[in-house]
Parts: sequence; C-alpha cells; structure tokens
Amino acid sequence: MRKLLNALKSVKLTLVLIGYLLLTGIAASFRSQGHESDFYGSLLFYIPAFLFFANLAACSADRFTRELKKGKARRHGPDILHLGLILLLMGAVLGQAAKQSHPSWQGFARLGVGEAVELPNGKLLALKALDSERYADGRPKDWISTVEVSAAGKTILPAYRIRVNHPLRMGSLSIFQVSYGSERVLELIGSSGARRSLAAGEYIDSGEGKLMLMSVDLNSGIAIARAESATGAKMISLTIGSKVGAFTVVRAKEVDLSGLQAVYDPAYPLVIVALMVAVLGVFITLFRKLGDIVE
Amino acid sequence: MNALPTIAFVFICASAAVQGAFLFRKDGKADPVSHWALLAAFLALAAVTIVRSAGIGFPALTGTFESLVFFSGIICLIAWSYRIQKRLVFLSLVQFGATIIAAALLAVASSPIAPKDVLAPIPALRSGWLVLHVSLSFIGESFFVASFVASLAFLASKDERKKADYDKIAYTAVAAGYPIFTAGALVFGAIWAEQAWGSWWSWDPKEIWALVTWLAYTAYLHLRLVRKKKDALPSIVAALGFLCALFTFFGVNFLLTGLHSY
Repeated sequence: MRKLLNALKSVKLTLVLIGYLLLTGIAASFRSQGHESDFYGSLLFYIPAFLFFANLAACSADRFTRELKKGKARRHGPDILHLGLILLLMGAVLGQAAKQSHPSWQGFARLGVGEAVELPNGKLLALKALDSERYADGRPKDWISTVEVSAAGKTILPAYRIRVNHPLRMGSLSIFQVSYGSERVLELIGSSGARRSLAAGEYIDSGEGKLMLMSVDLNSGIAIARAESATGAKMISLTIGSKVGAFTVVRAKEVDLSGLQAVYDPAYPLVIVALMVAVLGVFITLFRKLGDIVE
Repeated sequence: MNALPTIAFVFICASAAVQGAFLFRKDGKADPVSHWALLAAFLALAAVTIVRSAGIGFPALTGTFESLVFFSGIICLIAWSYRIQKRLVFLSLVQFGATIIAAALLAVASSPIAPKDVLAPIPALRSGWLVLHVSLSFIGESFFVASFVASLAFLASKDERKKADYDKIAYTAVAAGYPIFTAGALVFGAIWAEQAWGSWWSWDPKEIWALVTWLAYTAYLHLRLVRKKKDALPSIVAALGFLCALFTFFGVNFLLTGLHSY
C-alpha cells in the first residue's frame, strides 16, 4: 500500500502521464479533422486521465503537508495551482455526467418571431423580436433575440435580449444565440383563424395522412409537398387557397429565424472557480520562481 | 498606414544585421543601437494595431495578419526589454534569434496566406474575453520565443559557463511566459468558448494543440524539479514546446479544421 502511494505521488509518473496525454493529443487532433475525436470518449483516454487525477491529488496532498512543516518559508503557489486543476477535472467530470444524465436538456431550436418553444425546465420561451446589426459593408455585427420566458401562464422574464456571447442564464440551463437565418415558409390559416407556418421538411396532418413540405417558390407562390396516405405517397403542388387538412394556404413568404441552443451544465460555476484558482496559483508559483531564478 | 509593417520589417532587419555583425566579435560586447531599432519596430507595429482597431471599432487581433503583427511586435518589445534590463546576463545570441523570429513572422504576415483586408470581426469574435484570450496567448508565446532560442543555444554550446547562462534565460522565459499563456490560451479561451458556443471545452484541434503546448511546458517545469543535473532533456522539451505553439497557430489554421476555422 505504501509502495502504491509512493508510486502515485511520484513526479516521474506525472511526467509519463503528461507525455502520454501530449502524444495522444497530437494523434487525436489529426484523426478528428473537425469532428470531436472519439479518442476522448475511450478508455485509452479515461484510464490515464483518471491516473493523472489520482497522481495530482496524491502529489498535492503530499506537498501540502510537507510545506506546512516549513513554517515561514513555505510556498503554497503550487498547492493553489494543483487545487485549481483538481477542481477543474472534477467540474469537467460532473458537467459531462450531468449532460449524459439529462440528454433532453441539450437542444437546438429555430424560432420565428411569435413562436415559442418549451424549455427542458418546463418554462416556455417565446421569441418576441429578432434583430440583426450590420456593419457598413453589410457583414453581420450582432444577432439579437428578444425573448419572453413564462411558467404556468405567468411571465417571469418579460424581455431579455439574447446576443452572441451574451447568453440567457437560468440556473444551470443557458440559452445561446448560435445562428440567424431566413427560411421560406407557407403561411396557413385554420378554420378557427389560427395561423401557422410550415417550413421545408416539416409535417402537417392533411386529413388523409401526413403531408411534408418539400420546397417553396416565393415568386410563383407554388409549393411542392409529399402527401402520404394509406394508399401510398405522391408529390403534389400547393398554391394560395389550397386546402391542407383543417388549414388553407394563405401565402408563401420568407421569415427570419433565430437559432437558439440550450445547454445544461450545472458544473460550470465550479469550472469558473477552478480556472480562477488555477490562474492565481500559476502566477504566485512562477513569479516567486522567477524571483528565485533571477537572484 | 500600409507602409508601417514594411517600415517595422526594415527596422527589424537592420537590427538583425547589426546584431549579426557584432555576434562574431571576440570581446562579446553588444552593439549599442540594434535594440533601439527593435523598439522602433515595436512602435510601428503597435501603430498598425491601433490604426486598424480604430478602423474596425474593436481591438485588431482577430485576423491572421493582425495576430502576426501583434506577435512580432511583442517579440520586439521583449527583445528590447531583455537588452536594457540589468538583472539577467545579456546573451546577444538570444536577442538575435528572437529578432530573426520576429522578422520571419512579419514576413509571413506580408505573404498571401495572411489577408490584409481591414474587416470588423464576426459576432462570435466580438468579446472582451476573446481579446484577453488572444493577446495573453501571444504575449506568453513571445516569452517562449526567448526560451526556444536559449534552449537551442544551450544544445549547441560546448562552453559549460555559457550553457548555464542559456539554461537560466530559458528557465526565466518559461517562468514568465507560462502563467500568461495559461491565463490567455486556456482560462480566458475556455470562458470565451463557453459564452460563444455554450461549451468551455470541445476537443477542437486548436484547443487540443493549445493543451499540448501547455503540457509540453508543464513537463519542462516538472523536469526541472526531478533532474538536478543540467542535461539536454529540458532544453529539448522547451524547444519542442515552442514548435507546438507555432503549430497551434499555423498548423491548426492551415492543416486542421475545427471551431476556430474563422
């Protein structure tokens, strides 16, 4: 047991593990080519990463107790840095575990103005306005979604502006502005006067089965759809006035859509604390070391 | 405005030429003017950054050309500071090597691979965290330039006294650059990534290579703890660490694709 502990707190083990993570990192970056590498979800990564965590914890505990005995000459910069790294690894593991245990809490929605989506926490997020700021040359400067959040019919956040780099935080759930675009849709009106939009790829009940919109031509106002019924499927064209189940086609139009991403990460506050602790530790450690080297 | 990078390049080359001539003097005396040319180059490059920032209404650090101008300028500033400081032994070869690297980076900035259009950043890049991320990463890497040159000089030198001096310069440069690089590349990078993409770490090639660079310098610092004898291994690791930093910038941008492919 003592031998195992000594091996675990060895700096040589640290170096071996750093070397392994470094070399495998290089290999994984070439293999992934723009996709998240599967290496980081494999045991070839998890086992050395766990060993690294154990090594870091053992080294830190050992070093901290040795420093305590030194009296005034003690230096805790490395201890603070190591604590930050330990917290960071814990934050990463907790965050990953939370994402895996709540897969439905991550999601992406494209909303037009007036549309709403139910959030994983049960609240309703409605898009009230969508604005884009542009530079003089026409390139995008910012995308801004003004949203309203309500719960059980009661508005709890009347108008929050979600912008790129300025997400909406609701506890562990954050909503990010990740894209902005426009889409051609068919506007339909129901017998009760309710309106809805149908975009390419979306389905609607046609009364005889399902109907999927394929494409919309804005100039002619004609849309192509695939109608599925018990007897088979066929391609049909829809024009203004066409009946689709309980709805009637009113017009073809282009609408702006906001791409919003929901992310659930209850460990992010821990990660932020860990990063700050690590930075504090690294500066204390190395500025003192710098003083030693220069002297 | 367009002439400023060229003027800076001329100053750097002139500085390198004077330093080169003095490198072969037997008395080892440093020249009295080359570092002022480096300061002039830094000021010209700082002016490029300021003018472009005013033009786009945001700190000009988001394009390849702008990053290289900043990187080269900071190397010039550090090389000048190293020459005028009194606490560390001055080794002209270290300053010369850093000057050559600053010139090489500026030459790349003037090549077609670095578009020079003055363009305001896309929405995801308009963040104070990104400015801290990029600027501190390059400042940290500028110190790594000094450690790279000093490590190569250590490996090439036969004189034990000089080897000890090169080793000390390399260690000092890593000790100064490592915390700045850690804060910039990893910490502020993670905070910005979370705000822009919703994930503070995505195993994107740029992130992996920044981590690889950090691990290389972490290995260097830990090697210094366990190897009391001043052998070649830490110098080799420090030199490889800088090559990793260069690959993080150039290799990932041009060979690998990922979230950082703006």
